[in-house]
Amino acid sequence: MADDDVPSDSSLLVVIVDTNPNQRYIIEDPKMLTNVLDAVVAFSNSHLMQKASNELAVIGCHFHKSEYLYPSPGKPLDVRQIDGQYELFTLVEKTIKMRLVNLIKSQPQEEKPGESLLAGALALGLCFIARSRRSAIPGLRTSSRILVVTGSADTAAQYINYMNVFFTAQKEQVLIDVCSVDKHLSLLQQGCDITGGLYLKIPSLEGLLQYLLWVFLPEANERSKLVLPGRGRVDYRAACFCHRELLTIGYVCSVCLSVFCKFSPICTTCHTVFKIGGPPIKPKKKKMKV
Amino acid sequence: MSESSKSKSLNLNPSPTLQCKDLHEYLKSRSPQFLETLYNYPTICLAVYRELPELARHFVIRLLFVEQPVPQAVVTSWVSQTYAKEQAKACTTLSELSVWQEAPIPGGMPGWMLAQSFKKNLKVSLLGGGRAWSMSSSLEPDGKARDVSFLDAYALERWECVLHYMVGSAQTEGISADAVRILLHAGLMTRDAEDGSAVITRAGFQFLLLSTPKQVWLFLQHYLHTAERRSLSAAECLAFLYQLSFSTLGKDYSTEGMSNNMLVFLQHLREFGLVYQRKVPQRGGGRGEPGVRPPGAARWHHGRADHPLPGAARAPADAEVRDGRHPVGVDAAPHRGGPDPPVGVREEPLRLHGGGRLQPVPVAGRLRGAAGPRPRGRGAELAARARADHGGDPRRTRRRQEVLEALLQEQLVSPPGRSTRLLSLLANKIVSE
Repeated sequence: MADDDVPSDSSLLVVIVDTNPNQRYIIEDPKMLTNVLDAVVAFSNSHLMQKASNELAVIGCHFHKSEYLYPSPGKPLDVRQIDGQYELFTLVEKTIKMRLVNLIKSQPQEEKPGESLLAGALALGLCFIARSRRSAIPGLRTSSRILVVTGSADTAAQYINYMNVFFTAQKEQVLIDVCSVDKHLSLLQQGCDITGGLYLKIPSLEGLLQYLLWVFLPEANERSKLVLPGRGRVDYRAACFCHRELLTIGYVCSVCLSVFCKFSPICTTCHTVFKIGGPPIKPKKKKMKV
Repeated sequence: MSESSKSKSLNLNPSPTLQCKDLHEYLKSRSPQFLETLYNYPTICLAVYRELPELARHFVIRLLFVEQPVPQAVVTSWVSQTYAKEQAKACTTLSELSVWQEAPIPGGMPGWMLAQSFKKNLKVSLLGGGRAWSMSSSLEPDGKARDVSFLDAYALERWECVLHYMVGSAQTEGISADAVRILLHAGLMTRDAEDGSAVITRAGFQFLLLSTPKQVWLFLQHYLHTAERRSLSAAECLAFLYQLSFSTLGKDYSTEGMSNNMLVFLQHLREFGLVYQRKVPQRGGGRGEPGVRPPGAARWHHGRADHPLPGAARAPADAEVRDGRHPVGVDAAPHRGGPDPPVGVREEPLRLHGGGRLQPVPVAGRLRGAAGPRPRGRGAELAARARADHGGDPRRTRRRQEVLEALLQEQLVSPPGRSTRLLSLLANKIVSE
């Protein structure tokens, strides 16, 4: 993006962890969530370790809501040293674990787990970044990025929300990185492409921390110096607004640019009435009435 | 002047300008064995890591979890070709600091491997494990906790005692013999031939005009120099200083389990205002408010927020002044969070977690800015000359007036502050002699 090669004074990282219990790797082995969380915590602390001025936020994304795991909205915990770990890192670890337990406990028992609310979590992250930029010192160069760690499958149900978030992030010069633990996520990959972030689907869960440290730890201006995985081919198919199906050919409203798979005389998004009578089947020559 | 010449020959700072090395330079000047012992402390590893150049930091974190040596060719391939120079510089820095060593790969190729102690202790500081350096987990909540403003005032007052002593003003309590020894050793003061009392030198004048963090760091560097002679391990002291800097401002920590040497060091730090410790009634080797605290757990508060240690903890509210390159930087820069200086001592007061507010810049910083193009040495010269004179000669009185003016003129714009007071005290002293 704009100031790519200028070193920044402080870097803000927002990590979004998908904690939805219906992710395949959790269904197969519930203990794996702990491993994934440990890797994410270690990665977050490594980010804080880079520079004293770096900042961190961690958001837990569930199927009923998303919540800040760190920093804790209320008073921070009073941590004391129990081992040689730097106190700040201990605070991060304890806060994240405690709030995650609360988040999971708060899930409604009677509902069947739905999709992870990733678009909402991304929006939360963008709000956090905007807020911290407002309260930052003028003249301080900050770079911000969001990392999504998820094992969910691709879903077009949140297509519009995703697109809104991606374009906002692009405008705000926030990178969106995605680390997919299980499936290929074409929609999120589009987001990475739009904002200039990195998309990676990791082959094995055991090496998660190493992948995170190698690929996602460098900041935006450092990425040009290191050799990192390339972009790959991005699937840019749009999803129709009526059924959320990906399509290559469709109908587009000329006013609001919403995409439809079938013709309809009124656009459902902006309620424009299309004066053209039906889809053109055969071009007919109209006789001009004198 | 035999005494002063003796102390001059002991002076390890021969040049009149005070040398202030940053952490990496300081470490590079030490032996690999010293570094090996030093890297047994997680906080030092963390501080050294933070001061590394960008690429070096990524190399280290990538190698942190790898057990075997990695071929050098592989490490080179991590960086794109256009940045080969930076990559080479990062490799040299890591080798000079003994963070990694050459290690052969089976097959004969040269490889890199992180130093065992560094790797282990950096992991400890990042992930946990190892021993806590302070047994604070068993401390009960402090009934009489001191807040940050109290600690700041305390720290300032203590440090000023040292400075006042240097200036020779009579209105202060004296400082310990150890502190005097350090001042002598550093060449900031010298023994007067006639009455054996310590008087300030030219270097001492320059020292007075530095910003507080720089003063403290310089002072500590000399302290560490002399530490070995007093059978205090310099590595242990440096490690403790970094542990201090990575603690939280205003929080209390326990002294339980600290060795005698470290307790002595702690007392010195207390004297300089870097930590605050309440008066300890001597009861069975520990402290305690009667009946409330567990015995053997003395408390101390991390006082001095003006912590100059490079690579130290989060500093949400500092403004940076680079070494001599931006003398007015202190005023020009915003008061919060300046860029992390890759080299050079972090000069401004650090605010750790508890703070986050804006600290008025130390007046000495402004002083530097306000001095403008006038050579700083002149005032010191005049002062030294004036001091050499004794008696009530009217010529001398005039000279003393010159000195006074020169010194007062050094601060064209500054609010009444610490240095103003100091210098007016000094001027008074000279005039009254």
